[in-house]
Amino acid sequence: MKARLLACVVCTLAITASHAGHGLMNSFADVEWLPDPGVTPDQIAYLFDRIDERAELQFATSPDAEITLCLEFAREKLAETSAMIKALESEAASFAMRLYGDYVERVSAIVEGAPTSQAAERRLRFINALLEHVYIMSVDYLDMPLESRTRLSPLFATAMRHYEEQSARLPKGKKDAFFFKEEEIRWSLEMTQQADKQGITNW
Amino acid sequence: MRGARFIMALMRFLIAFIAALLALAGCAEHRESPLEGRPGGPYRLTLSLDPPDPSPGQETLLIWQLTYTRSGKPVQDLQVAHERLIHNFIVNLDFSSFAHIHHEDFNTVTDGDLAEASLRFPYRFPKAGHYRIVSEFAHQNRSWTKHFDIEIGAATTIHKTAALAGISHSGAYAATLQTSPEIPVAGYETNLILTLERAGEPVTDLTLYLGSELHGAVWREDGRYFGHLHSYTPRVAAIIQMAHDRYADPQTRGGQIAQMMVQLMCMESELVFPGPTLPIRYVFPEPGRYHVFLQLAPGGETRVFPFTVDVTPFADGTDTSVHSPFDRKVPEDSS
Repeated sequence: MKARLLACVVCTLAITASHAGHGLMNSFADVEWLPDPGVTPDQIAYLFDRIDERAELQFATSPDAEITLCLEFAREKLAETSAMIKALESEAASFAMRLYGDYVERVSAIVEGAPTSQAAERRLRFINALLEHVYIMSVDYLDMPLESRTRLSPLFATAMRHYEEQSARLPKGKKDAFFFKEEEIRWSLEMTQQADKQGITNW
Repeated sequence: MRGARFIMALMRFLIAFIAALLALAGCAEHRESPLEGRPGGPYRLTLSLDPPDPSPGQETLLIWQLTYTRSGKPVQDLQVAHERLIHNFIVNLDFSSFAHIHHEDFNTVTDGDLAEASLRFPYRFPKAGHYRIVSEFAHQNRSWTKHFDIEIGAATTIHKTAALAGISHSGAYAATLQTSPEIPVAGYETNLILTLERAGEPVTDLTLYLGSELHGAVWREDGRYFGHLHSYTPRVAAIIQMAHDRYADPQTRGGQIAQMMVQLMCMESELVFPGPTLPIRYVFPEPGRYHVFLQLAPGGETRVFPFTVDVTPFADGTDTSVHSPFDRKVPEDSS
């Protein structure tokens, strides 16, 4: 019944993804999903996880290596956030989200500080990652408990703010190539809002 | 700090080494069964083979089941997209064989199939090699793809593939593929124009196959970046145009796109391009050599035409402009 309700909501929305899977709209169809959350912020051992991350970043050999690590850790923070929201551990979820924000901020700084010759590739990589983050979390949102999932709003806002800032610096041709991904993200976020309004969850 | 880092690295290496040994030990004896589609996500798609370790040329039953990852329950309300529940693309990773194949090509979908979310069909892997199967399905108006890697027969090495000529033959048919820009640029739109001839004469009797004049599958030669292509009809062009113009009228644009998408999805399929030329619009995500398999049905008979497309990285001064002989049609038909 819940699935039917959800399908009804989806059908009444701007179904830009309804053509999905057919060359037009499958931009995220094979996106690599989040890793296992592993140690989460509600566990004491999380402290060691943090130390490990800092140590790895300390020894990053280049800005590109640092971006790789930051984006990898950002995905881990998303996985932790999802796990904590599902476990109704709101404080721990907020903590993981803050760390997510720190990592994307760090990538943003590297991209902004890069020489022109390297900035474009790094920017594209960052933009793709941000869109994937929002897509995955907005899909996962429908599988989260109603009472705790609205805490994700700042995470969406952070990712989209960085996305808007970075995509504004893309040349037009490059930016246009993202428009289906953008549309799918907009639709996906709209779905989360409609699901909240109507109290729908797969949880 | 250096000592701690060394110990950390050593421990990681040992764990990875032991895990690799265990994995190798497992792989040496059995194929994982059922196979689990990658990537993960909210849905779990499994594939079982019968027999589990088929030989080249042997008829093999491929059995899929789709369940929710969280609950393990079958997904009972799969959507029909382009006349099929799950589209499957099977390619040998040396790109010597290709199939676009479905349960419905062989069997009627029963209530039991839907209740179990289980579909199947027979297939013969033509020769020994590494195969990639991409399965595509739609649920709740979202599409998903999962892929499986299967080794058939004795292990072989995958070599880099050669570029194919811009003309591809199948029986009396010859298909020519042109691109604009002439050398496609990764991350930018490319217009592909397919022209089909039969015994030297232009083909004008293309029919719809699974709801479209053209189905295409594309992979980079390393098996990554799968894409499923269709013809670039005026309706699609109009939607893209509207998406491009989104900042002009953000209040109404979403609703208009939605309406057009619903029409595109729900209305009776319509033959737009009878031949001899068809446009396809695609964004190759990364540089490299891509293998493109284009499937058409001239005179109602399905034919596959393989091509390769070399995609270059963007560099300052690279021509990314897209030209198409169909461009002028878009404004006329899009209303």
